[in-house]
Amino acid sequence: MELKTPPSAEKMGARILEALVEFGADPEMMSPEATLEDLEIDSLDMFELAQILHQEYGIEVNPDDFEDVKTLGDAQQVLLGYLK
Amino acid sequence: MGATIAQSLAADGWRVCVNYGTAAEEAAAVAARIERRGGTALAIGADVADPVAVDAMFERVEDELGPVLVLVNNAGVRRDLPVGFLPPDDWARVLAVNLTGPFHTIRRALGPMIRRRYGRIVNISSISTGRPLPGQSAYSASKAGLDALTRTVAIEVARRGVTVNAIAPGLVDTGFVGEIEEEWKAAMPPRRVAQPEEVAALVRYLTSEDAAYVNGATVNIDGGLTAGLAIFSPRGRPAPVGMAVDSENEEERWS
Repeated sequence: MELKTPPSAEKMGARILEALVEFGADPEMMSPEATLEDLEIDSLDMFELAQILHQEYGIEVNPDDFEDVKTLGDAQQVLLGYLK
Repeated sequence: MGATIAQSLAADGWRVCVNYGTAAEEAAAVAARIERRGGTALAIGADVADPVAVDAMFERVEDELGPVLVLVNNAGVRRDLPVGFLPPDDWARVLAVNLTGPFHTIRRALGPMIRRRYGRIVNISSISTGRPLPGQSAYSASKAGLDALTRTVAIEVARRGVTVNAIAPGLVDTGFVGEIEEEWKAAMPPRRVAQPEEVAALVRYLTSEDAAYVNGATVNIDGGLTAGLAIFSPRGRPAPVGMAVDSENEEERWS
């Protein structure tokens, strides 16, 4: 994994939320327990999120890592894990 | 046909990459022709069956021409033999270029298209998917797969402003089908084959803003050949429309 400009976890977490809102998720429903289904975030949205993280931070998202992801908290944990 | 499509899109103002597999000189000539007419073009060699080569091509295009918002998958090869004689390597190569190649290019192109909420992908298919000729198992199967790929990707990315369509030409005067015989022309409802410019005109439409709601379609451009009943001789050639097939004289007629 090549990081263009390694962001802080806070910065990347905020960017993820910003992207999900852009995709149509309701900001008031955002919580770690909210499911991606409740937020109406699907695989195309996750693909675009992966594009954003690659473009802006050089992160390569592996779709296999999302096999057990159900909630926003799960997703953030996986994505922020790429920073380690 | 690729040359004509590239020139047509350049005439619409697109900066064009002319991809080639082995025909470097021809691709360079097409790019030079576009430049002479005031357009911008780049000829890049890349085997579309190789994802690393496809990625390198896209990197260069993005660096030198800008984001790829239109993709035309026109690369195609044929190995026409009865299936019992068709070497597995030939089958694999046809599938690799005609079907896996578009998978690689589409996969690489989609991300930037989706981010920009605009993209037009046109896959050059064939009427042989539904009306194959004997000997074309690999070619027909690859193009049928391409149609399925077209429809699937179309519904995956539609809400991001990206359309994916296919064009299924019949016989086109390009040299790809060899010298087009008079009897072939006689079997076409308009009594002629298509010109590459006619296919390019359809590509121009499908890549335009006007075609935003055309998605997941395979558009035939065959002069109506597949609209009606096609009668094939035992040797695989279509009988001219209105001509009864006389099995006793079949060999003589088509020899």
